[in-house]
Parts: sequence; C-alpha cells; structure tokens
Amino acid sequence: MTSQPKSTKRTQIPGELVFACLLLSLSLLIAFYALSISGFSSMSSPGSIPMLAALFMLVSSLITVIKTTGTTTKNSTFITRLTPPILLFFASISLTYILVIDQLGFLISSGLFLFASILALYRQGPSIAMLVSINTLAIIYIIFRLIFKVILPEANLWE
Amino acid sequence: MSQAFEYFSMGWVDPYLFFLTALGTFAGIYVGAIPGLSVTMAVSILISFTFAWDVNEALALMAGVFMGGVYGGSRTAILLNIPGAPSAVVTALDGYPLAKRGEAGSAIGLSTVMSFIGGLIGIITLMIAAPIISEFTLMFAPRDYFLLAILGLLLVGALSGESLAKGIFCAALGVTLGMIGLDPLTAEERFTFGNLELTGGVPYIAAMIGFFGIAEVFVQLHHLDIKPIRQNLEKILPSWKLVKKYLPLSLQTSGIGVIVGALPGTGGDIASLLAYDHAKRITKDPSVPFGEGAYEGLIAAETANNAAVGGAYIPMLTLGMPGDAVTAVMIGALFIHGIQPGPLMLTETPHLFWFTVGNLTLANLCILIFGLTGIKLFSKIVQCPKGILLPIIVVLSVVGTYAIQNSVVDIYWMFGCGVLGYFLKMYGYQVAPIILGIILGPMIDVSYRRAALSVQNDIGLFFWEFLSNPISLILTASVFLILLNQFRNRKT
Repeated sequence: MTSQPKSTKRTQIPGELVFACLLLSLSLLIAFYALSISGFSSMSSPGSIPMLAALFMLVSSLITVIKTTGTTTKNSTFITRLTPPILLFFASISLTYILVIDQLGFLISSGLFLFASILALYRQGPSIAMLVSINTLAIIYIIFRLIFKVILPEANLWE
Repeated sequence: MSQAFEYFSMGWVDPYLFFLTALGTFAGIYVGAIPGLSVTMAVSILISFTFAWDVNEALALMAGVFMGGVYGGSRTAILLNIPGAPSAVVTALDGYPLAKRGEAGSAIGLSTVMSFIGGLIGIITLMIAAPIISEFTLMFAPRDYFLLAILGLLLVGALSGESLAKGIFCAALGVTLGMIGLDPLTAEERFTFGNLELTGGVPYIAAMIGFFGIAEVFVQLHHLDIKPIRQNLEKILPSWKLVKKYLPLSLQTSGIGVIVGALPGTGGDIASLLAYDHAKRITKDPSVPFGEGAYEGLIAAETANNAAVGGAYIPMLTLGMPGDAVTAVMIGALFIHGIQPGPLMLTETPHLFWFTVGNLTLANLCILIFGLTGIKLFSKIVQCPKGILLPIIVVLSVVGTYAIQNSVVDIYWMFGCGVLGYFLKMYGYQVAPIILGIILGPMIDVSYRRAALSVQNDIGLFFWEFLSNPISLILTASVFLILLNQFRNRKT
C-alpha cells in the first residue's frame, strides 16, 4: 500500500499563465529591438546593456512560464479575482478622468472624478460625496495651486 | 569642522526649513501609519511637487517624510495589527498583544522613545562613517562604479518576494525602461521607435508614482471593507525607570539596525527581524513571553528599524547605492535636483551632506515630539475610510505627475505604469526592482561602457582588471558572495 504524497504545489491565479506568456512575448520583442540598436559590433556599443537586460528578461520570463505551467488553477475566474466590478468601474472613471483633464481642466474633471468615485466607494449617498469632493478639491487647490504654485491642467475645450 | 556644523545647523536655525522638516515628519508619520500608503509612495509623489523647489527645502521635507514614515508604520501595527510598513511587521508581534491587554498608550510611548534612540544612533554612525567611506571611494575607476551598480541591483534578491525569477524580470524591465531615449555617450536612439516623445526617455517620476501609487490604489480596492478597531489610548509618556530598564537592549539593537541598514539589499524589515531574534536570545526573563506582548520584543524591533534609516543613508550618500526601495526613490529625488549621490558628494557638495544629517537629526527629534503628542488626532486620521482616501491619492498622483513637465503625456505614462504595476503585483511580481532598474540602469550602462573603452574593448583585459585591482577585486568578491548568499537563502 502506498501513501498518497501530499501536494505542495502552489495554485495558479486565474490568467497567470497568459500573463507570464505575455511578458515572455514582450521580452522577445525587446530582445529583437535591443539587437537592432547596434548588434554585436563591440563591447562598448550602445546596444550592449539593452541586449543583456533583454537576455535576463527572456530567461527569467521563460522560467516563470515553465514554473507556472506546472501549477493548478484556483477555483475562481479572472473577472472575480483580478477585475471585480468595483475595480473595473474605478479604473474606467480614472481613465476617463485623465483623458478629459486636458479638455475640462483640473477643477471640473477632478471634481467630477472625486464625486463619482467617492459615491461608488464610500457609499454614503450623493450629498456626502458632494461635500467631501468639494472640500477635498478646495484643500488641494489651496495647498498646491495657491501655496506651492504648482501648475494644474487648464481647460482647452472652449479655446 | 565649524563649516560642517554651520551646514548641519542650517535646518535648525532657518524657520522655514525647520517648518518643512517638521511638516514632513508629521505627514510621514500619518502616511506611514495608514495601511496601504507607503513611505515609498509618499516620497515618489512628493518628488514631483518639490522638484522646482530650492534643493534644501526639498531635502528638508523629504528627510522628514522618510524618518516619520518609518516610525509611523509601527503605530497601526500596535493599534490595529496592520503594519503600515514592512519594517513594522515585527513590531506587530508584541505591539498588538500589548494593545489587546489595554496597554496601547504605553506601547506607543515606549516605542516612540526607543525609535528616537535608534534613529539618533543611526545618524551618529552616518556622521562618522560616511566621510571615511567617501574618501576611500574617490579611488574608484569606472569598472568599480559598474560593480557598485551591480551590487545595488543585487538588492533585487531581497525585494523579489516569492520568486527570484520574477524579481530579475522586473529589474531587467526597469533597466530597459531606463535605456529608452538617446544614448548619453553616442546620442544614438534606443527603443524610441522613431517617436520624438521617447527621445527624452521615460519620465521616471511618473513611472514611480504609477508603480507605487496608482498600482497600490487598485490593490487596495480589494480591501475596501476592512474596518479599523478603536483603541483606548491613555498614559503615553513612559516613565524614566522603564526607559532606563530597556536602554541597554535598545543600544544593542540599534547597532544591529545600523549595520543591517547599511548593507545593500537589507533594510528596516530585516533589521527589525534580526534585532527581535537577538532580543529573544539574550532576554532570559522577559516581562511576558515573546509574541504575547513582551516590551523587549517591541523595543528591539522599533529601535532597529529606525536605526536602519541612518544606516541606509551611508551607501546612498557615499556610493550612490540604494539600501532599499525608499532610498532608491530618494536617489531619484537627488538626481532630479541635479545632485549626484556618490563618492564626490562629500567633496563637491559637503554642505548638502551635512545639511541632510542635520535634517535627519531634526526629523528624529520631531518624531519624539509628534509621537508623544496628538495621539487622539492620530487615531481619527488613520480611520479615514478608504472609499475617500483612494480617490484623493489618484488626484494627488495626477497633480504631482503633471507638475513635473506640465505634460498630460506624463499622466498617461503614470496611469499605464499603474495598470501594469497592478497586474504585476497581483501575479506576485514586486514593482520595487523595476524602479531599482530604472535608476541603476543608466549608471550600469555608462560605467560599463567607459570601463570597456578604457581597455580598448579587449574582453580579456576587461575581466583581468576586475581581478588585478584590489578595490575591484573586493567588489567582485562582494558581488559573488551576495549572489551565493541569496541563492543559499532561497534554497533554505
């Protein structure tokens, strides 16, 4: 009678192997471009360190792919584990915020972003979200624009 | 000597510099204490606001944030069993049981005094050791700088987390990102793909804010519902009798903290761990068993991690080599102010060295003052809901990134690095090696190629020089010893 060996394998996070393969592909691409800088022309060529770095990226990402291939997947999906709805929502409004900041200017875009994100994350109703957003924005503006003289993005939508 | 004292006291006598150091320390304590916010994140964001400032003002603020942040991490470790920083993980072992016993106030008070003692010993060591090391390193050739940068990059072993391969990948990715733009020796384009925006290189402050700030915000969205526990905080000020009782242990663990902090690849987290282990071995009769609220365990960890700050400044200022992720970011901050940390810093800009030492001393004193007062305000601020805090961090990151070059493209870089950093973190990759690579990459590139050019690209002579010169030989041996040690540690 043989006893079943206890499994010590770590489980794989959903999408881990795909991510490792993507990094391997990125390494291959970087290696290709590093080689095209100056090839193996001399020890002190501009491409020598980029080629060495690309080599390290290739080898280490290959090791990661091999190690990940031998693991079992966790019983959850990529969506629930890595991109839950709240994260997708927050990432989307963050992306929208940085894309419109140039058009709407700092104050309007930051105000809208703060209101929407605090409303969704803090979940205490629109009046609280509005109050916190306005106060936060006022403090940030006074500290950075008026005291530290930091330049903030200005609206160019109406220009 | 009198000139050194003059530079040292600059931050103490100038009211504005004094205010900035105090403000930095105050802010650092709170940033370090709020779980999810790190000192590295705070310093990264701060660089973008202070880059246009006078260098002394910027250094004063950042030294305060650094010192305060390391101390602040222990507060939540004691009160909530959530270390605010990796260096406070060991603090929680005995700190939290003390809080559960109703002795949170006493634990915070004693840890504050011991942190002050540890910090002071670290700074005194920095004052004595840095000029000696700096004089010695003036004899360094380009190949030695190359070896030094490699030594710094070996820090990746300690920052890699669960997988060394993933750590190496991130460091190499960082080096590659650092290579983007025009080659500093030949002006040849590297990884620019013909894009004019890329010829100036990656805006590394934006990358830092993305990797440390935005990525962490996304990670923290998974822990939105964690509610802090309220603690009873009374009797903060420790008695002289108690301080005297634990002073010998505090002095011993300060020594451990300074030495460990000065070694590349080791920081406050390892220092506190080793000091805790030392305290466990030498304490025959602890107040209560270790791990159940022993003051000895709390003191050992707290003194060591604060002493490690002074220790970490030694290789940073004298060799330009980061001791941990925060010092890597601090080197970036010095670069952006046109200061090259390294052997020439003490001869070319001694005022900056002594000014920094003076500021660290002042920040250490501020820790003592702020640590023993304002505890009620503190407990309110650390309970700030993440639903409010996280959007504010995003706005601050945007403001900070835009401030560097007034460019929206930098904000896109920051966001891209943040998204990449999030997935890297979630899949077990650490982002600190990327920053290490970005900072050390250009130094490796230039020093390696200068060393190769000095031997007319003769590969045999190139390697022979590493073995024939005593300094290079010591550095080469150090590289191999650290490598060997890291592989051995990984196996065990």
